[in-house]
Amino acid sequence: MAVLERTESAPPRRAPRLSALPGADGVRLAGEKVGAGAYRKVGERWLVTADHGGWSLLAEADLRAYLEGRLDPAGAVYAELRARGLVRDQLDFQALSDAWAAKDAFLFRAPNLHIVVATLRCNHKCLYCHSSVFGVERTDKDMTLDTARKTVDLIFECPSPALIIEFQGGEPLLNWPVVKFVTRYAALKARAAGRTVFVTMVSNFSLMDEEKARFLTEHKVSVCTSLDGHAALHDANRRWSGGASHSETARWLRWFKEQGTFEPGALMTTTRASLAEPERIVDEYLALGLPGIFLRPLSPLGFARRSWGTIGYSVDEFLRFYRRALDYILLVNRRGTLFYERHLLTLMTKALLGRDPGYVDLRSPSGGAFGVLAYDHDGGVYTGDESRMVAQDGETLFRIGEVGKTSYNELFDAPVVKASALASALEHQPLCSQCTYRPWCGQDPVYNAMTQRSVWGRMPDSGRCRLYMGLFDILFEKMQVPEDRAVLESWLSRAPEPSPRGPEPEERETKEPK
Amino acid sequence: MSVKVPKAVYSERALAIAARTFSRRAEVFVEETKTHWVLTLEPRAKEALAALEGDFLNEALSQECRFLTAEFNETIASLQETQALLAARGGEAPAAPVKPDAALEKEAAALMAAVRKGGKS
Repeated sequence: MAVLERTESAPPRRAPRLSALPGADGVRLAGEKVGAGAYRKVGERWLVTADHGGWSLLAEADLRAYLEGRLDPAGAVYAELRARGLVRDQLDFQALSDAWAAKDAFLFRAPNLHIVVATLRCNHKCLYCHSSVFGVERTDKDMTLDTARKTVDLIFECPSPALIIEFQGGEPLLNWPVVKFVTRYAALKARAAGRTVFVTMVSNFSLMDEEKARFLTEHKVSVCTSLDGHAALHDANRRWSGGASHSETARWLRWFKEQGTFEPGALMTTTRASLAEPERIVDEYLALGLPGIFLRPLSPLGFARRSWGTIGYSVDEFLRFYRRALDYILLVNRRGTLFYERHLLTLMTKALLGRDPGYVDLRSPSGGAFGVLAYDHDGGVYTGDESRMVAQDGETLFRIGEVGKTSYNELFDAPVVKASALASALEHQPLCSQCTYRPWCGQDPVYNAMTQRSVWGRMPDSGRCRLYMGLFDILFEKMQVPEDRAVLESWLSRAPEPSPRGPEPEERETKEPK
Repeated sequence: MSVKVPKAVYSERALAIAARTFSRRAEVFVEETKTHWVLTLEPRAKEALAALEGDFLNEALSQECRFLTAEFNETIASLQETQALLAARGGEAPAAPVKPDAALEKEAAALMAAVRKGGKS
């Protein structure tokens, strides 16, 4: 999910959504030579892309020569375009097919991310909380053990050989019995089914203690927390009457890091207060020894939607913040510390490595239901975590079933699943279908429904479209600066792996339940 | 407020979808002449009528463009959607379902009992 534009505090200086080549009317297109589907001016060069994800950054004279079929076949530009599958009469169809399949590998997998809301209660009052959580006294918002068992049973109906169960909230530690049960029961089911299951938990850590932490590490439950920056900023955003949120977050991040079982994760959410100090936010992540940062904008959900006037900002303001943060991160890298920004690394994994980073927010069709399912505390099943969140605001369109009542296959019979697939296919969207970034981008019907009252959305005035177009522009601008490109390419060693694999098919078929 | 739009540009279907999308913001009434639709927009709350009209026509135009785009790309988009739906159900080689297992049931029951006994700690 991305930024909802509610304010315009500065005169917008936006790159146009579609770029026109000056004098394009005079270009005599050599259709039999041109394999690229779209081009766009980015920085000083023109980016050309094709459906399979091949791309090249061309000087304007080379672009004209390419479009008119005048490139010298013995030249370096022609060789590069041919190698990247962009010369139409020189295509290696098997290679293109393989590239497309690797890039869109998610099209060949069942959803493997299963988000479980153990409780909607939380002991924090974060200004931007997207989940519209309830106070700690509302134990009626806890998932019961019976519902937890039905939830795990439904998750294991999913045919994916590898499953990820992620506890979201509310604060999962407020319903610790369900966290423990789901973790252990999923392990039992995985063993019986010959599947692989990974469990992760997103927590604010304020209720963590040694016993819980040891249980999590012993059961290989990886943890992720929120860290908005230095203590003053974090504690202003993430209010906790029980103490200082930042100090507990930092303490347990260090603890899990010291255990070495896994790298604890941290998520940063940008509020208006963050915009002025990107360097200090990055420094905080560096000080805690984290390998990178995920600079995330606010989503127009939950409390954030209601308090937008206080904490919100425009897409352009976010992109200015992002650029400044990125420039600082690049400087840190040039000084010798490998430290990445996860948004850009995700885009690079798609565009530079040509593979699926397992990121459900940027897929066509959307990752909702096809990449992720969410199970609410009351047993409601949703097409994703945002779908579950907007239900708290009264929009129940994306509720597709209930544990114990709906079978896994019936979830995909829900009309909204098919409507979302149709609406989010970029080939069905007027602007997206012509966009240079289409090979790597994706729609979000939930965002569209919440901001534009339709799963289809309207891209010319979609804040989410402008956000991702801005991020892609930044990536390809930086790729034109040799020293920046060198840093970005060094991050690829930390590129997210494709979705985790389960046991090999032969192993699955022969493995007997113990 | 009323606005006339040409039938050559706007189909009735696009206007109907746009009107539904705008249903929380305005009521839309449609009349027709031989060549035009005559749209009457009645906002549900006080707002600038010019902006309302502009937003509504943007939405209608977007729907119209979507029809054309979807028709043009129907084959590839349908293939991808079908593949996504097939893969969600396990594709051509789904993992074997978990079979009823008495030992597993017993372990699960014991686990639930143990967690219940442990209370909320």
